[in-house]
Amino acid sequence: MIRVLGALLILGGGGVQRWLMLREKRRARETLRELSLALETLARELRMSLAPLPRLLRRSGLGKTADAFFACVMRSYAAGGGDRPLADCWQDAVEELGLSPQDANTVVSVASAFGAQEDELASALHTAALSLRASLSERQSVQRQEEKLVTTLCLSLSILLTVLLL
Amino acid sequence: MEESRAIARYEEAAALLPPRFRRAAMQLPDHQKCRVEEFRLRAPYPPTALLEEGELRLPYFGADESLTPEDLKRMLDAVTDYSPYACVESLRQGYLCLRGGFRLGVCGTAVLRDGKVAGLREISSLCLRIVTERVGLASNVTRQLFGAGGLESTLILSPPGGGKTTLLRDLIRALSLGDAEHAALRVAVIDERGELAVCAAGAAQMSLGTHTDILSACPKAAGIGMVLRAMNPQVIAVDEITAAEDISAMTLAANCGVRLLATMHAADTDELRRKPLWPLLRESGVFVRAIVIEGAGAQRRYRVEELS
Repeated sequence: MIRVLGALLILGGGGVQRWLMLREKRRARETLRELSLALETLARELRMSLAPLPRLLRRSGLGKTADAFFACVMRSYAAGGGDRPLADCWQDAVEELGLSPQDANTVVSVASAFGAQEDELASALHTAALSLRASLSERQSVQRQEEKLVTTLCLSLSILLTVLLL
Repeated sequence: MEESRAIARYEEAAALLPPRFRRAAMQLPDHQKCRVEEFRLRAPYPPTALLEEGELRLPYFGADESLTPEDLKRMLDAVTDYSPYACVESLRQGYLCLRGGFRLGVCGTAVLRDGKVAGLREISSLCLRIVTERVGLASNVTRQLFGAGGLESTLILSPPGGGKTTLLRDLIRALSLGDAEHAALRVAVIDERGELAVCAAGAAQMSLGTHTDILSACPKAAGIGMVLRAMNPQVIAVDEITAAEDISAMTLAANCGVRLLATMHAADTDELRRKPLWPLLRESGVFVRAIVIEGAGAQRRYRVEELS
């Protein structure tokens, strides 16, 4: 009876592990989607309103992750009383996003255009948005295979452990 | 009271300097702080404070006391919120109006597009002006500007740095607020160089009264026509008449029954009569009175004269 219960727990654990791994990948894709859309929206609003950058970054409604990211940048900037370069605040906030090194570099590269004219800044935002979208497409194209792989891995590992237990 | 307010203004301005020079600016003794008119920042030299008697080096104790182009760029980035595009029009003219009523003059390499200045790059020097507001300064002269038909158009005269703009600012405020003897007047200010109202983010940083409409960064001649058509002013105020077209626009406004207030560089009315623009001014007959500013600092006196 205890062995059967243990086997069920192992199988359930495998299922939970699969769900956690897939949720992490889904979250990464969602972050990329939100950020690419948010950067694109910033570029568009910048061209339309020519509003100062902090005012653009203070806006919300661009998605949970993007809102949290911009809020983190502005919190850090405000805490520095304007002494801390905005680029440093941006870079620190990118680290908290948990992106892959390549995607993180893409977002960090936008900061090099802070303090430049609107064409350069809008172009940096647009380029970063395109690059993130390309990365998202790449991930979506292997999404099915990844799901299969994770399912197979978790299932076979839990079955192996169950067999060994029984 | 006046001195402590001047010190507070100085310290507010010092907070805008590059971080490593802020402490140096705060080290200046109070009797000098209250007389500082500007901070001058030039790469690669130490920053100075401009007083009436000349420039004074800030007491910096660090290893490298010279400003670098990066210091200037960083200061400009901070005051523009990393968004020079949002103030490109005034930057093109070489200045920025900052929150708190400060004015930043900018020098660097001009970027030309189609033969016109499109902006500035490689910033080489900055001049942070502590714009002063002396509320009540004009109280003694204001009533002398009224004749039988109400306010007379008046020209304020002094040599450069004589306090024309400060007096004009308080005169605008006084007329716009009115008093027991005279009702408040609708005043339109054409603030071409942003020195009168120091508008930052759409808000005047200087107190110009509750009945004042401000048109910023607009050439005087064009601006006078615009406020005349749109704002129905009783008084139009402009700073520094320098061109014949300004006088033509003022003549047009005067013919519409609007009174004018303006400033001009001249030590007195004799020097005014030697100016190339005088024949035009006399012919237009716009200005009836002149306020001549004499002396400097606390010794300043204001003399009202009839112009004929």
